[in-house]
Amino acid sequence: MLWAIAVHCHAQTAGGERRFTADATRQIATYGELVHRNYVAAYEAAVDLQTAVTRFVAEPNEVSLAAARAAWLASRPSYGQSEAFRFYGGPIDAGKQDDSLAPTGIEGLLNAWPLNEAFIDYVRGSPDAGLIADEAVPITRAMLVRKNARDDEADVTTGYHAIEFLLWGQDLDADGPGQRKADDFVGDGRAARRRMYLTVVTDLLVDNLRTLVDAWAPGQHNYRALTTGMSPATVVKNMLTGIATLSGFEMASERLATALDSGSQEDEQSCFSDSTDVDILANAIGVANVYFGEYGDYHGAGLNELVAAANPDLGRALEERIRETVELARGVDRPFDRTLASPPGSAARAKVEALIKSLQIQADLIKYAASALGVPILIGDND
Amino acid sequence: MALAAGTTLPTPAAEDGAPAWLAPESGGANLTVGATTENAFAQPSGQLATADLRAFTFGNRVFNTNWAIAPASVSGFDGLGPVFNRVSCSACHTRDGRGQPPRTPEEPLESMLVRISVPGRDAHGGPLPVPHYGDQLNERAIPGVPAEGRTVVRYTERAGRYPDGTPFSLAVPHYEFVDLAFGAWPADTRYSPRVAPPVFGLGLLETVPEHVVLEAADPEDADRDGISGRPNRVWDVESGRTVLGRFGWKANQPNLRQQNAAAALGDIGLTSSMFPAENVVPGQEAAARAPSGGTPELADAYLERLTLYVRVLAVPAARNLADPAVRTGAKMFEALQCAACHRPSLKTEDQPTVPVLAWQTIHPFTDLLLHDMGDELADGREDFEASGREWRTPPLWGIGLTATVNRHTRFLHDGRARSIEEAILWHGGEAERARAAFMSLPRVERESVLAFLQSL
Repeated sequence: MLWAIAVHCHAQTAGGERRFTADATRQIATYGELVHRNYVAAYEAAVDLQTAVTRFVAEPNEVSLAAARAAWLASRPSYGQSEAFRFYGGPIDAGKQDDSLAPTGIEGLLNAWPLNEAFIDYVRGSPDAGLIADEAVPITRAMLVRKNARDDEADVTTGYHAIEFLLWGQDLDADGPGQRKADDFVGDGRAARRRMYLTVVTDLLVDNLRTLVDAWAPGQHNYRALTTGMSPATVVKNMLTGIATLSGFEMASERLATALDSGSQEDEQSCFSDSTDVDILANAIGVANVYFGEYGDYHGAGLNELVAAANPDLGRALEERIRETVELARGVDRPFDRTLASPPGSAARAKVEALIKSLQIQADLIKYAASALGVPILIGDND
Repeated sequence: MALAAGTTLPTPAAEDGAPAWLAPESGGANLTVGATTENAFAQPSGQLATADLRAFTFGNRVFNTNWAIAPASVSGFDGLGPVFNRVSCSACHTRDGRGQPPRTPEEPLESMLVRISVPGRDAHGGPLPVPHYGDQLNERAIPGVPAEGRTVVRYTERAGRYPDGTPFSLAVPHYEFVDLAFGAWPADTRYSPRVAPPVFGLGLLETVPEHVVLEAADPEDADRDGISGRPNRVWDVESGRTVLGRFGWKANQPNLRQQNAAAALGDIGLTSSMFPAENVVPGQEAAARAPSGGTPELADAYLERLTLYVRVLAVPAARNLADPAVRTGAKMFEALQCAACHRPSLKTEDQPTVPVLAWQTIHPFTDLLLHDMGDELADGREDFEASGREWRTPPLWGIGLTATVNRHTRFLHDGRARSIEEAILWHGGEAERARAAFMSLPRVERESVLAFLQSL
């Protein structure tokens, strides 16, 4: 996709179309800052999860399990917002080609789904399924990384959703999340392997998030430093490609439309914990963060200023659209699987369809904005 | 091969004499993508309309679905088997890429299958199934139903040398079929092991008009260049006619809808409106009693979106085209006559239902025709008009990203070649001269040919 973007851009300028002329210095500095703050938040939440998991495996009972689950849920909003930094070959998507140890790259180790849970542990009807039951396979970081999505994309072994499955188990309940018992982690044999598995994948999650924090830390020789040396047009194009792709492709199509069209719980991202609505809202906020140049209580210079200067009507429309999308995302019912199970035309489905429509318009407006700034983009799954 | 004068014959474009077709847009203006990651084969055309993107994404979901045994709580996605090879499309075509043989004799076939038949032709000219087994060995089955059997692949090394003395070794495959559930096969049974081919760019190949394919055909080798090139003529289920074959290692499927429906039935065990009968061979009693996952199991709406998905999966751009080795390699590719079968350029024509596929100049490096590839690659199994020595020229676009996407470099129909170089060294028959010419090149020029292929 990057190549196609480059050629498209070239053709535009050769044809006398708009060139990138805006001064984006403040926006690029803001972006580095907000990305770093976001990954720090995701990392700190993951460390809290690690602490809770450590306590849980040391003393597995329903109370420590509940605490680990709460920590997992608390770790999701910050990571979900950071997904606006994907889809342009940045640090989150790096490492996919040359690293034979982690050929899926960091993103594939952090948040891969759909996840074939039977590749990890038992499921209903298959008590001996998965790596945990397979005594011949040592539970080590190297082994889990090597096996991640090796022969099938769904054979996910690591990341948030592997941890989620270990903490909740399969969601076989129409109204609530998975009901795994803490007893699964008590004793020797498979319980011991399960404790080891949970520990290894949680530690890996923390370390991978640390890598992302380091890539964006200020004042270091890292990716963030590189962005100040890149042409501003490229950085702005990357920022817009990330949020347009997250809006139009990843959210509207993969995470929402496909789930509605299949009606299947398998198409629900956080299906074990029934918290997919949290992911949806976090993604929508992540787009707004990049566009308005903010994260939490940090407010810098946003892309909205550049777009408003290039085309005031477009700027207004896109600002309104992004705010509207966040509101629509806030309105998605919980649990999401009940929406998926509802009949065509249900009120719950209509809410999600409205969100899809809003995301599609948003993606188109971001494309128009990119063209207005002189950095035309294409939307695709460029991860 | 034979081409009318002035059709697609090479015209040097660059000052260094590199061919005019040496361009990054392998999949044409609309279906070329720049991704070089492990998802390089999994990208949609960047030019899809919003509604098509939604259908594409759902098709991707169907492609990745692990089909469940019927009846399952996941209604709409059940109906696996009763006998099957894998539970999803993506299990064999991982990340839309290429399958491989098992890593050890003990491992099951994961992204490869074995077609079987006895001599003769069925009513439509296709292969005759083996009694009790059908036309494909289904090595897995749902509980309570016996799997048909198991393939064991072993290799022996065969040493060789280039004329310049450089040694090489080829892995010669040996197949054994064990645990056969319904007794030994008849003595005259033919078998043909095949790895899963990559599935991107296929919509473009489907849109290349028949006359463009046929213009390169030269069934009697009238031009005496040693290369014939014959179209396969295969049965089109929907139209009830015999038409040009395009897809599969022997070009035995006429279009992607039928290719998909046939694979869904033969490989996963899913019925469709095109193939409404379960894949149960007479005599397999336990399989005949297995419950159905619906009529059909693969709903038409799913098959339609699956087919759109495969049609608009884009082609990765060629890379490193300024590298002198790549440019020299492209010249050598023509000089060695590789390009006689691996046609560098084709053009699509009108495609009213999927307009992004229309009027594209593409660089697939295939002629979609059948060629005699010699004794060593022969499977001895006829498939419609394809003889037991003929194979359809496979496209080469994207081949340099195989290791990135699929973490292996196994090539040819049965994955015996462990590198692109070994794949070249296995070429025989009509490609014998090209192989010998490649082997006679100085090492540095051989490496430039490989550099060119890696750039695709």
